[in-house]
Amino acid sequence: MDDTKTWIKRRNADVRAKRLASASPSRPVGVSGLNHSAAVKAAAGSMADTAGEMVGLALGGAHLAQGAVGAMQFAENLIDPTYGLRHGGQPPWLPLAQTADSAVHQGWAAARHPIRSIKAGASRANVALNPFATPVAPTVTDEMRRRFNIGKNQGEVVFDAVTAGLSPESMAGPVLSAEEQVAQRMAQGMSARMAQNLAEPYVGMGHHYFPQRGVLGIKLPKMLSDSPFNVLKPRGISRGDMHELHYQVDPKFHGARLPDRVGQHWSGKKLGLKKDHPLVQVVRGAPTALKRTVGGTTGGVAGAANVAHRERKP
Amino acid sequence: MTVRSWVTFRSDLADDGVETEDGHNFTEWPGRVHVLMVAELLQTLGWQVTGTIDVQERGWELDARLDRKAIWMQVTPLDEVIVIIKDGNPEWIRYLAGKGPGPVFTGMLTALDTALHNDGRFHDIRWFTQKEHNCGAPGAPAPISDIKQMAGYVPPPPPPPPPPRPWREWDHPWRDR
Repeated sequence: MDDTKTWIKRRNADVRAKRLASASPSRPVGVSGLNHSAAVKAAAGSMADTAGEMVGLALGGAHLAQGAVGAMQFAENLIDPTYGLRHGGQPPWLPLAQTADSAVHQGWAAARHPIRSIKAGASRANVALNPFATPVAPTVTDEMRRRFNIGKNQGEVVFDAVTAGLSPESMAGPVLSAEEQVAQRMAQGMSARMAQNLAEPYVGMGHHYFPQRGVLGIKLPKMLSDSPFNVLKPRGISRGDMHELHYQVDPKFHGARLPDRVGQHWSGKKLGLKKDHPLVQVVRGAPTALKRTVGGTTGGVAGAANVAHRERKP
Repeated sequence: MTVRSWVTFRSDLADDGVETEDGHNFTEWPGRVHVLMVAELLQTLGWQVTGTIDVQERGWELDARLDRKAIWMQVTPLDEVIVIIKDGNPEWIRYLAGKGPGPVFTGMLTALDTALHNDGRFHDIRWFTQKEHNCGAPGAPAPISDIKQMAGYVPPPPPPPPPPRPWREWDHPWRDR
């Protein structure tokens, strides 16, 4: 009798489950009125994009630190006499040789069909970086996920580009002598007096990375605010080059007055200069001392974490 | 509602920079006279100016307070004077809700605009958002603008009436019976 009751209960539960399954056929999770609003999706996507850019910048730094730690580990393995004993007689350069071999194979495959490879690469980059290359997702959460991933890729690309050599010093191009700078600026249409004034060494206060006015009511102490960790002022830079750099990395710098004898003012807008993207301003506007400290600390922490992780392994 | 907190104008005030002896740089940068004038206007509006700082090529900075509200300004005199006004302690809940700055800040902008116009020494007063200024837009005559209040605004035509509802059997079930 009990068996029969149990069987009936189980059967009823099965029937109920089947009915439920047929009543809600593949309805997307989280559907609400908001999912039909293009404005809400755009706003949420934009927020997710910004958050993704920040994460991408951090990831770029983490990957850089990871690469540095890997390089240090490889150098350590090369001089470690016990490496062969610990890895079954395998030489320490073998992983590098295998990676190089794989890269050569991939390069050869791409070289056989260059146009197809370029097209495929451009298409992949377009999908990874361009929010308009893929359709808007049907739900707000999916749209946020899509834009977050795109933002993350953009942030990482910006970090890689900036650290690959787009630092203020390298962006300024080869260092020109004062005479060459004067000639160059006169060729741009400036008067001789203005060109000569701009070619003089810059002696001003520089660009304050954390603003002197403070942010959200928080101000740095003057000693720290005016220290090389907060002031961008490349050594030996001329007045004109500093104004250009300052204009590009500071959203609130428009131009500078020049003495009356020059007869003109320096204006970034008049010269047709463009402000950097805010993310580039964050990285490029950072003083060299701060970059070195942050880079060294990140590398050190990542290295210590890596060593600790390896030591924990049996 | 668009709130423009960057203002540019031309002024009749004399230049006041103090140059170095060799005439190649400044010991005191120009713009002091303008920042003091703006400070005076703010004081007439009830704001307490807490300090002005020479920030060299960027011009002059000014801090002011009204009760618990704080603002920061940067005055840069180039061909025209560029004044950036920032909310010192923004009401984040309003910003996150997309409502823009609070009434104290917007009220100050409107009152400052009126004071600049009434002063008579300032001309070509134009208000910008940061984005508009950086992309070279012509700016607006007032700091607060609503698209519906702008001159030349033509309201959009009313939406067309909905199509007639098709007859359905269950609306009048007795017709065919």
